Amino acid sequence: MIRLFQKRKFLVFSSFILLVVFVMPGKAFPEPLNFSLADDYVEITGGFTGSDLVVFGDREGDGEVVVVIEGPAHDSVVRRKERTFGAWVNRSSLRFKGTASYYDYALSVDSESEILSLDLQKERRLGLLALKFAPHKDRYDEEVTVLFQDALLRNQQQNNLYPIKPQKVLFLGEHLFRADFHLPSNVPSGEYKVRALLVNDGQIVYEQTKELQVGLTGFSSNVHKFSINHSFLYGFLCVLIACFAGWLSNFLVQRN
Amino acid sequence: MQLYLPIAEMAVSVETIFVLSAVVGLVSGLFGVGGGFLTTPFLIFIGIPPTVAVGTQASQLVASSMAGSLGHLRRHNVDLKMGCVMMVGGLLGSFLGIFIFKFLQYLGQIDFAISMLYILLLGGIGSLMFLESVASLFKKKEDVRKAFNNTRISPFILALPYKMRFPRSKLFISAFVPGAIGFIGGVLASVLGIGGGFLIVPAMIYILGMPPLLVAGTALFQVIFTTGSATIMHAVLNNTVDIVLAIILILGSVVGAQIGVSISWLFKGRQVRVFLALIVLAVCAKLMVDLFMAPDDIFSTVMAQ
Repeated sequence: MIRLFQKRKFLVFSSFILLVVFVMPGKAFPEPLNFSLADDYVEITGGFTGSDLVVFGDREGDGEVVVVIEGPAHDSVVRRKERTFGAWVNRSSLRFKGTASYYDYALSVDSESEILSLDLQKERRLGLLALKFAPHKDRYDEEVTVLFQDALLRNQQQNNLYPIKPQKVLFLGEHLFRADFHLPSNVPSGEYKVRALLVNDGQIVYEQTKELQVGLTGFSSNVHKFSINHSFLYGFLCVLIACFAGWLSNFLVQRN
Repeated sequence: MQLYLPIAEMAVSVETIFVLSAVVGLVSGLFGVGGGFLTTPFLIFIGIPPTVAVGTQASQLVASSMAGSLGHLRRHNVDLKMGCVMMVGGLLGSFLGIFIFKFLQYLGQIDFAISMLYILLLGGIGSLMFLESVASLFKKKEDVRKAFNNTRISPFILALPYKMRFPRSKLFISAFVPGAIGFIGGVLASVLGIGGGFLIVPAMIYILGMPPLLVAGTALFQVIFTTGSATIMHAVLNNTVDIVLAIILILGSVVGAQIGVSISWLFKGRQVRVFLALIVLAVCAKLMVDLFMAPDDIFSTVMAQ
């Protein structure tokens, strides 16, 4: 545990050093904004219970900083329960296209509305209001659709997949900043995008994007892949293991 | 200790699952019931998705029915021919069951269906067990395991075609009857992840008229195949069999069953049956509360398949 902690500290520290050594000398032609991830691969192993993600950056230009993490897009189905003969049963549903499987963001100000217009937030997918969920079919009128859209956001917040409020971008000096995120244990795997933006005077003056891989590794990954690629064999092996366990327990009973 | 389940894609506490399956194993060791009907609701209570609970529980039942039927085989208490005929029906039933499961999933009603079926099932068995065990407290003891079954088989069943001889059970009966009983067991294995012993065993006694001594072993023998087939089909069509979860469940139930068998002399059968009935009814009540109480949020979101 202590070693792991030290390893993490070391990583954070070394990325800080790297940043200072390689980014700072670029001052001759400075980029207005530069950032790096302490880890660019989040490994989901057998003991995975969530992971901290640290973004380090250097701001040379003027303006406020926004950092966004977005998971791979997929379709979501939102279902609504209604009371039916006393029991609560799913009665209606709406499917949404291309919703972010994970979303979190950090700001150097308290709220994105302080620095960006709603139109610009939506255009660049910045903040919770910008997460527009487009229904697959226009099944319901706007009033009902909004209920489903709100529910999708709320449900994902309850699942810790969307934030309730933005994280803070902290400045460690005039230029250097860091933002701390926490990926929960149920984080979906896939290719993530991390974006850092510089906002000045209501305009986005600079944007930088980096990729982050979140994936199963080691035993978990092998089991998961095997269960998908060779599902029959996987099922068959599960049955064999269970049969063996049954035989073994019977054998042990008999010996006693 | 937290462990990440590769198929359920979530972290669970190993101790919780282990203790839970050990308790169910203990109950099944004490009472000689399969316990599948308790494990699946327990897994749902601690937040495992119902679909994963059902698929994985099926594989745990392969282990427990294997262990049980080996014991009966050694004592020659299995009618293998009867078991094989039931198995054919059971395999067909588990095919149908998986399609019912997929269809309910498509409708978005699988969680509701699993809860509702469990409520009906546990409520029914629980109250019957409770009444029976309370009544038996006041009755004189009689030999439950008679060597011969005096049940009169209904003339309708005797008139069915494709009659087959089952020398071990001393029966001459249509193959459709054990096949149909196995079929129902197979459907239950796929849809609910249970062996269905509570339904198959009475059916074998009262409809087939099998000697009670052979019933448990023969039922367990065919449960290996129905749950095995359900496991493979859940793995192929749903990808909901979590081997890591299954192994914890199997280990827990083996340990629990050992303890259950070794302390069963502590308990007198009749009083303990009242206790089991109350456990079953309590699980049923909890499921009902969850289904009938207003949920925190009437909306729920899932990733589309």
